[in-house]
Amino acid sequence: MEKVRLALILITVAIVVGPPLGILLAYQNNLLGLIVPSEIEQIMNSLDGSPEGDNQTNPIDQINQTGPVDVQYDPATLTATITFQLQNPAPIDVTLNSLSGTVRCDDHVFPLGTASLKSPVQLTVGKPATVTVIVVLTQQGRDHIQTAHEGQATTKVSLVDSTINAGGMTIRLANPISIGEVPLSFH
Amino acid sequence: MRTKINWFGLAGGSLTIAIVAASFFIPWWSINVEGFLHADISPLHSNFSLLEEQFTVPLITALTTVGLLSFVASGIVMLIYSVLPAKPYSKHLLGFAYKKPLITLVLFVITLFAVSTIIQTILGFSFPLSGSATLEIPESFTRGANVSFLATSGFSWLFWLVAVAAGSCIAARIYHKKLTVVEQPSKEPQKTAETTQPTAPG
Repeated sequence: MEKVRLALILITVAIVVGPPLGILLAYQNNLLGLIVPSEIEQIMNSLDGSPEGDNQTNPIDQINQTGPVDVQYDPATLTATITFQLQNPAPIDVTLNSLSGTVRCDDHVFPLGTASLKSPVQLTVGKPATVTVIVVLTQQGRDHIQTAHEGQATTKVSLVDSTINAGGMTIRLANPISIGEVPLSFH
Repeated sequence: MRTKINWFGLAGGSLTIAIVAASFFIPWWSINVEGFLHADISPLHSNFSLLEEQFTVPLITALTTVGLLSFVASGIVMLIYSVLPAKPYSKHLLGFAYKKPLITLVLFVITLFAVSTIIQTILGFSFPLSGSATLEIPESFTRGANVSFLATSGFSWLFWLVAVAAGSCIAARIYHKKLTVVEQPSKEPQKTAETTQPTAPG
């Protein structure tokens, strides 16, 4: 009877002590690796845009740096179609589901209209994707362009109070996204 | 002589072994932060993926191995005890086996609450233990942007089956007392009510 009791105690000790001790010995030279595995470090590196991640800067910085690749404006409908070229900075494919915000005149900090994504865009890892944003001017926005920017071929605008939904993540940006010079004129 | 079996122990032991096998395919609890993180968690086996990249945390693997071996040992010993409840050493077998599922279950729930509280305290956001919620990442982590994720989590039916197994094992411990009482009948002859009751005078 005592042998059974002793055997059960030994089994309990072996079960409780064995695996943690084994893993501790295996990682004795890298104790941080016990909690933060190498896969996580690689993902964090690629998100940081470090050299080993070989990634681009984040899409907001890309827009701020390069601006739109094409802008089409239809004065009849007060609608501008702005096209950007973006590189996915994440290590996985991401779908850009929606984008919304207010387009603002940078010179006078005046709201001109609303912006939205034309259609969802698949951002594939390592490949540039074309993102089309539709900007609809309000009547006040049109009046502002006609009066405050009379005679100007272009107006410098930014996207403010923007909300982006990519994958399952919703991002509300506190800082404006500079779109650059947009030919919003009524001549 | 009729063979005695502790049926509660047999049920508890069988369920414990079945839970070990099922835990490789069904998590006790899971959380999905859409497009960002997915975790299938149980004290016996866990799976994690971040940005669709699967990974293992060595410390958690060690702890789940402890849970797995405890459950296997508990289930096997409980089954052996259940068919041999009258042996002199059976009480040791029962004592070894009956508490482990309950202790594992309680520790698992406490750990979930503790991790949730620690994350809330240190990182400033909490995840739902059951249901859906929007995780708001503090702006200090996101360079001023307000980033939120839709998180969905919940306990699976396997979690509740573990509760049933733990209950069966506790019932086996209680039933063991009854088995022991039946096994050792009183050797003194029973006195009848008539002989023990004093007769009324007159």
